[in-house]
Amino acid sequence: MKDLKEKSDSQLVTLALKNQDSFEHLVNRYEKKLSRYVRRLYGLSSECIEDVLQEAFIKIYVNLNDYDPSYSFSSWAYRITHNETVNYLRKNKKVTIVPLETDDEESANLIDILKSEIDVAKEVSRKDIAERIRKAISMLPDKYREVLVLRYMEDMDYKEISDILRMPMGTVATTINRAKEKFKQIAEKMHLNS
Amino acid sequence: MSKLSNKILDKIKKGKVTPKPRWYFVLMHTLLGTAILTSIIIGGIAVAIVIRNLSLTDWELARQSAGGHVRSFFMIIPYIWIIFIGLTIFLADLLFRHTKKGHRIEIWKIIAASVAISMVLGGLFFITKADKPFEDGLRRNLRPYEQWEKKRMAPWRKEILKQRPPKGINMKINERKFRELP
Repeated sequence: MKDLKEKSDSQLVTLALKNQDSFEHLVNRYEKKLSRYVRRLYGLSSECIEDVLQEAFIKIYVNLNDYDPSYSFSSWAYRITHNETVNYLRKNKKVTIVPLETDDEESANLIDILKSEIDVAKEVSRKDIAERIRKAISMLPDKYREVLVLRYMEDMDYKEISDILRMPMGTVATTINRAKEKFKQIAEKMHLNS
Repeated sequence: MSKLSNKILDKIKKGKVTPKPRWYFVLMHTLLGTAILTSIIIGGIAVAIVIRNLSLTDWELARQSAGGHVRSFFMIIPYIWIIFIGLTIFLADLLFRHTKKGHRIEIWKIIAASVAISMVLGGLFFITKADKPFEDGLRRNLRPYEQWEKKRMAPWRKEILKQRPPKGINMKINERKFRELP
C-alpha cells in the first residue's frame, strides 16, 4: 500500500494496462479531486457527480494507451472529466444545479483572492461574504467560472489550465482577467462592495 | 477500495471494457497529421494556380476590357481558388488544434504559419509547374469547372476578337513580315 502511494501516475497507468484491477489505484488517487472539481464547477448533486465520474473514469481507462507521460496525468484526467461533465449536462438538461459549495478553506481562499477586485464592506461578516462570493461565482458564464475554479480553487497553473481547457496560455491569462472583471460587475450588482 | 472504484471496476468487468490498443492511437494521430499535410499541399497547389492565372494575364488587355486597373484586377482574379485557399487554411488550422500540443499555440500564429507555408509551397509548385496537371485534370474531368473557366474568360475573348486583323489578311504572312522587321 505504501509502495503504491509512492508510485507516480505514469507507473500506475503502466500497472493498470497490465492488470485491470490495478486501475483501482488511479481511481482512488483522483476520485476526491475530480469529484470536488465537478461540484465546484457546476454544483451538481452527489448522485449526478457519481454518474459523471463513472463515465469519466471508464473513458480514462479506455484511452489509457493514449496517455502521454510528457503531460501531467492530472491535466489529462481533469480534461476528460470536464468534457464528460459538459456532455452530461447536455444530455440531462433538467438536472438540478445546487448552490456552489465550498468549505471554509476554499472560502478563505476566495475571499483573499477575489476581494482584491472589490472593496468588501468591513462590517459584513466573513461567512456572509463567502456565501455571496459563492453565489456571484455561480452567476458567472461557464467559460469564466471554469478558469476561476481551476486557478483559485484547484490551484492549477496556466500551463495546466491550458491543457485542461485546450486553449493557449495567453488566452488563459486573458480569460482570467475578464472573469475577474465580470465577477467585479456581478459583485457590485449584489452590493458586495462598500 | 472505495464505493465508486468498486462500481467502476464492476462496470469495466461486466461490460468487458478494455483499453484501446496503442496502434489505434498511433493510426489516428498519423491520419490527423496526413490530413493536415494534405490540406496544406492542396492549399499550395491552389496558390500556384492563382499565381499562374495572374502571371499569364495580359493586363493591358484586361484593363481595356474591364475599363480600369482595379476593375480588371477583380475581373481576372480566380475567386473560386481564393475561396478554396481560405478553406484549406481553415481546415489545416482546425485539424492542427486537435493535435496533442496544437492548442498551446495562439490561433493567429497557426493561421500566419499556414498562410506562409501555402505561399512558399505555392511558389515552388508554380516554378516546377506541379499545379498544371492538377488544373488540366480538373478542366478535362470536371465539366462545371470547365464551364466556369469559359465564363470567366468570355470578356477576354471579346476583347481579343476586337483586336483581330482585318479580313483577307493572312496571319502567317503577317507573322513573317513581323519577324523581318528590324
